[in-house]
Formats: sequence, structure tokens, C-alpha cells
Amino acid sequence: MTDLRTNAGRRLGAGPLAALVLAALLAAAPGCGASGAGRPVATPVAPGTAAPASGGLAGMRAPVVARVEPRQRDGFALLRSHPEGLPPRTRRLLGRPLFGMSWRLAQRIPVALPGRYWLVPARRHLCVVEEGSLGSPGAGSTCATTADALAHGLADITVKRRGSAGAGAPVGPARLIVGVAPGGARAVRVHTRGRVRTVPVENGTFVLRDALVAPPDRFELRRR
Amino acid sequence: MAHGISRGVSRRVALLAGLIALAGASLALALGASQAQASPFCGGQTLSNYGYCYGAARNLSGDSGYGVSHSICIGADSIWGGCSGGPGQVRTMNLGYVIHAEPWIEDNAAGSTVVYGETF
Repeated sequence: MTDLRTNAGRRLGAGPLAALVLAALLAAAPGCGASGAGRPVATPVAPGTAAPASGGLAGMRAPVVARVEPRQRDGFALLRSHPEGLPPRTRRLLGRPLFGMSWRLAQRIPVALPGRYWLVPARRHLCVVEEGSLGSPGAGSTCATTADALAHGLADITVKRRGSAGAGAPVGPARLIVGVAPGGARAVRVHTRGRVRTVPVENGTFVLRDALVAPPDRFELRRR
Repeated sequence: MAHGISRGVSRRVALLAGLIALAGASLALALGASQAQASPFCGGQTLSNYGYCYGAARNLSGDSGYGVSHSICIGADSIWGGCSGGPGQVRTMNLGYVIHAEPWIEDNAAGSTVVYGETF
């Protein structure tokens, strides 16, 4: 046995083999080697803080969550039912999950519209994912901290303009807002460049379709 | 005889180790190539009154952005990728294919905001 090891080491040259193995390990490690050059490194986020507040988008890269956080489940009734998960095509379009979004825990937002929408739990964040929304070129997502979503609701906003409505795009309203509101909200006030539209919340969701070509500045919840 | 056998075994061990190492390196390179490179744009720039900020043209399959003080909209060239609903919210568009385009962020309210964007 000793003879085998000695022989192997001698014949191989332990140095080159070790170097080869080390190179492979280094190349496989995230952020190392040529493929990782220039890629932002995940930044740990302090609990309760918005990931991007530190500047830059490195905080978007986080490990995928295993379960819905209690605060999220308490705030949004949609997250208390059995999750449908995202379909494979939508997962492929979205690529790598942002903020640790769990595709498996995605909840379909029940709206009768051409596009499809999901509320997706993430790490201290909630995201609304859309596919096939008004003028959407592929899939999209909007993510907010859980605290922000609880305070203002969370919505997907698409507006048909600047070539977003390509060939075959649906004819109809110029603006479509599909959102979720936390328990206790009866309406959402949508502020757009000085104009305010009040939209009722039904089963924790709200939809606004109108002719405005401007996205809203912000949302304001009206509670019961 | 025993020496000859051990030499044969050692050769196979060497070959196997080399193949494993090469396979590991190839896999790592393939994974790296299949993951889009994140590339920042408009980082820390201040936009005012519905103003736009453009990043340099590049290959991208989507982009993300947010405004510190206001909601923003994002896109690339003439493709409009949707808007965030308020300050600090991150909007992302995923095209599902690669294009060569200029990514952009639009300030979505009166007044100024600092914005950050990233293509992938």
C-alpha cells in the first residue's frame, strides 16, 4: 500500500496534479476565476433594512428562502394558502431568483387578465412577478421589503409606450396595475403626477386599468 | 510482478485524477459562461423631474433598477420594462433572449432621486 502511494506520487508528480485540482476548485468557487471577474459579490443585509439602500444592487443576490416568513404570512392572506409555484417557462425567463425568491412558494394572484401574476416570498422581501402583462416583453418582477409591502401594498405596473406594445400587443388600456394589499386594506389610492385614483381591494388584490400613459408615483392604503 | 501491478494502478489513478480535475474545471467554466454577467449602469446618478439615465450599450437579457427617493421605470433602447411602485423597490425585466442595447432608468416623479441599475 505504501508502495502504491509512493509510486503514484512519484509517477504523477504530486505538484502538477495538486495544482490542477486546486485550479479546478478555484474555478468552481463563486466569484473566483475568470468567469467570476467583475461579478458583484452578495452583500449581507441587516434585518429589516431595504437591500438596495446601501447603494447598488448586490443585495439582490441572496440564498433562496425555504418558507414564507411569519410576518409575510400574517400580512397577506394569499400567502396562507397552498402555493401553486411558478411554471417552468416563467422560471426560465426569470433566471436566477432575486432576493432569495422561492419559485416553489409563489402564489398566483387571482385576476382575470391576459397576463399571469404571482406573489412570491423572498428574503425579507416580497415580489410580484408577471408574465405576459400589458406590453411586457417577457417576464418582470417588482420587489419591495416586507415592511414596505405591508405599509403600501405591492404592484406590477406596465404602461404601453415607447415601443413596449410591439406587434400583436393587445389593444386596450394604456396602463395596467395589478397589486396585492395587506389584510385590513379596503382601497388603494394610486398617485400619478398629481392625480389620484382610488381602487378597491378585493380578496387582498387590486387592479387598475386606465388610459393614462404615466406610471404611478406611489400607492397609499386606505384601511378599514 | 508486484511492482509492475502497482505501476499500472498508479497510472490509472493519475489518469482518473486528471480527468476529474479537468471535468471540474470544464463544468465550472460552463456554469460561469451560462450565467449572465451582472453589469452595473447609472450607479449613484441623480435624476430629476422624470429625467432619464442611459448606460453604455452592451449585450443584455434584462435589467434591474431602483430609485432611492422615487419610483422609477426601466428599459433598454425602445423596450419598456415596467416600473417600481415606490422608492427602494426594485423593478426587473427579463427578456428571455440577448440583445445589444442601451439600458435606461427613468425618474418617475417630480424632484430628484439617486438611481442604480444593473444589466444581466
